Amino acid sequence: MKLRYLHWSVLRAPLLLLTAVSVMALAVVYYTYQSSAASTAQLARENASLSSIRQKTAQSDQEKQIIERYREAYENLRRSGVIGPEQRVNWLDALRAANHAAHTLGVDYQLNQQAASPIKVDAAGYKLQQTTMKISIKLLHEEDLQNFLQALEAQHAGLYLLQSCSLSRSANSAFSVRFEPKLNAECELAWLSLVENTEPQ
Amino acid sequence: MAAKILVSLTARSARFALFERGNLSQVAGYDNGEAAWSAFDVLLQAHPATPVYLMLDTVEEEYRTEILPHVRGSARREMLKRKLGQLLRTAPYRATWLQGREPTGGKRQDDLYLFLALNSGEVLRPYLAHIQRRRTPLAGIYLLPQVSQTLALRLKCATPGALIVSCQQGGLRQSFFLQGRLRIGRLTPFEPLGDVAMVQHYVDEIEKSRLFLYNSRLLPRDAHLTVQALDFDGSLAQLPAQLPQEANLSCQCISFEQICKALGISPHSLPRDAETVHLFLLGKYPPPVSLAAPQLSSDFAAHKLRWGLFTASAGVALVALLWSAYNLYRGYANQQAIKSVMADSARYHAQYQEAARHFPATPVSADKLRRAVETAGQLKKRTRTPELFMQAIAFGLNDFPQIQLNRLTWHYGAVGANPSAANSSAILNAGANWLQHGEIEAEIRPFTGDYRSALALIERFAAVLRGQAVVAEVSISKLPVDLDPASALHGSTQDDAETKPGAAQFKLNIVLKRSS
Repeated sequence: MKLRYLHWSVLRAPLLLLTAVSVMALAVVYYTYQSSAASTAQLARENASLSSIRQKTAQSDQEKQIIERYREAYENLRRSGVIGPEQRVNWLDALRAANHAAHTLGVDYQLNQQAASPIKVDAAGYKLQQTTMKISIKLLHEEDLQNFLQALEAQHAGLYLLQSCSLSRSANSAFSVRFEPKLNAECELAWLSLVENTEPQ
Repeated sequence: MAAKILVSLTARSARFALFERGNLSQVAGYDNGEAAWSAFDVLLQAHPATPVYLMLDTVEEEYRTEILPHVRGSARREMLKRKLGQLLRTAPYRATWLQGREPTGGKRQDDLYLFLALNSGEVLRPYLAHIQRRRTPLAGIYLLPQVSQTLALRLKCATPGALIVSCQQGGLRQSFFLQGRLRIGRLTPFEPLGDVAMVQHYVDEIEKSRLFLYNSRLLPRDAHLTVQALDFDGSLAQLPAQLPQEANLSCQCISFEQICKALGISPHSLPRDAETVHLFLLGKYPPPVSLAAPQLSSDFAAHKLRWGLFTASAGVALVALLWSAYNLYRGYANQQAIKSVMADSARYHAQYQEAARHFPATPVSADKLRRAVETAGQLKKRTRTPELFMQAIAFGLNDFPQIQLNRLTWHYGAVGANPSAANSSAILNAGANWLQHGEIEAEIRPFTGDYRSALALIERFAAVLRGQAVVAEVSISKLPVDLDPASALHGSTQDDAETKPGAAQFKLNIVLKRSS
């Protein structure tokens, strides 16, 4: 049957009906599907929440043991400034005390601003911040550098990573019995702080 | 609403019926004239938009059988149109009916076509006028033998050739079928006769038809022919005996009950006459090919399309309904599950809160507590001082008093952070993240200008450093004299080393092992 012989006028009503039914069918299916999909997603969330709280409840004894085991160490770290905001005054006090204890002939320091540490650690819930400190130490003997570093460590002023040290002779390094620096040490260390991460993961 | 209006026309009579839900109703017969036309118009008016099926039983019919090459698509259409024009050029109503494949030997199988025509439209004209005026969909125009093909197939004749003979309103109708497919039909008008004369008339006409079949080679002379006479009142009981008793000819009188059984219907559902049986066949099994031109059947095509669209609408609505019902059911099931899960969560939460009441006070969660302490511990383990590096250098210098250390640089970090250390392929391949490495700048004092001895001394010093357990690699980055052929070199053999301190300076890069 060729289309040119068809009387299209009689098809107007069924075509309109098919269009209307199709549109309504699509709308109804879409609405019910969205509703169903939303409830499926909510169910998945609730299941995840249930799984989490169930596991948490089952491990409550273990959680208590963890708290008892780590609480004191955590408090110590917080007091020493490893956890929480950086404690610059503690660091400067520690430098001064180490200089005095190691009998070095003065320490010059330079602190950069705190920034995110490039060191990768698995510490979910915390972000690792670091403040780079450059120190210049005047020494009589090379062993004084080691003594200074040991003294600094003994201050427990925080957690730091010594990243570099260079030891060179002072400008006037000819032998002299005078009490004056013979060596100059320049070190770079990174003071590290664990700050609670408040941003969403 | 009636499903179909069925019309059977002969030159002298007309019979109408409605076909609804598989049954005939309102069967009415008229002399073919004004009364029939008026009745037909009333029928059309009473059942608007009901398709009309016209069946004709007239002598103005023509049948041609042709074997044509098997082609498809537009090539077939063009071929059949051309052939139809050649064979039945003047016929106002004509059609082509594919009757199957004809084996011609070998792999090729041609198509067997039957070309049908109604050479005069006089009988039809008043009815078509009513149909067109009422805009009633015309389903098709058919010849009675076309309708009989279904009967021939249902009767399952044992021989290839079958001649169905029946007494219709228009006369004695004979339709020849080969392998159940229509080849030719023949109508012989006659006046009512007595039973004996009627049987003789049947015999005479059947013999004429046999002769025609043999002469026209539609049936080979040695092929078996079965005559199937529709005998609804038992008046043809003598027919088999009256026909020539030849080996290739047999005769069956088919009763009304046998026909009803073959068609799967109750004998009480139909009036007992051949005309009505054919009307029933027309309604139940309309032939696939109509003699009506497309223009005449355009309303029927629109009618079919219209119902197709209505059916599609219902289908779409049904699918949407089922789909939506499934979605709603799933949503309901999810809501029930959510309620259950939330209740469980609340129960576990209460249990946990009860347990947490006995926990020691802590500023953060246990997990954070543990992670913070462990992370701090890991970082603490990473701390290094230059002590080991300096010890390694000092150990090497013990055996070389003539080497004076000018500068020492120590680094601790990822390999590659220090360009000098990055040159060490051994370290890069080791894959260590954090290493201790550094550089020393030293010179030989006193230096007498003997570069060969100086170079040997530096090599020995480097070898001693390499020999230490904590040292991974020692490389010389600068020598007192530049041995690179690509660079210029100048100096004097008169030089006095004591007057030129720094003349024998060199640099070593040292990398400690990762475990240190």
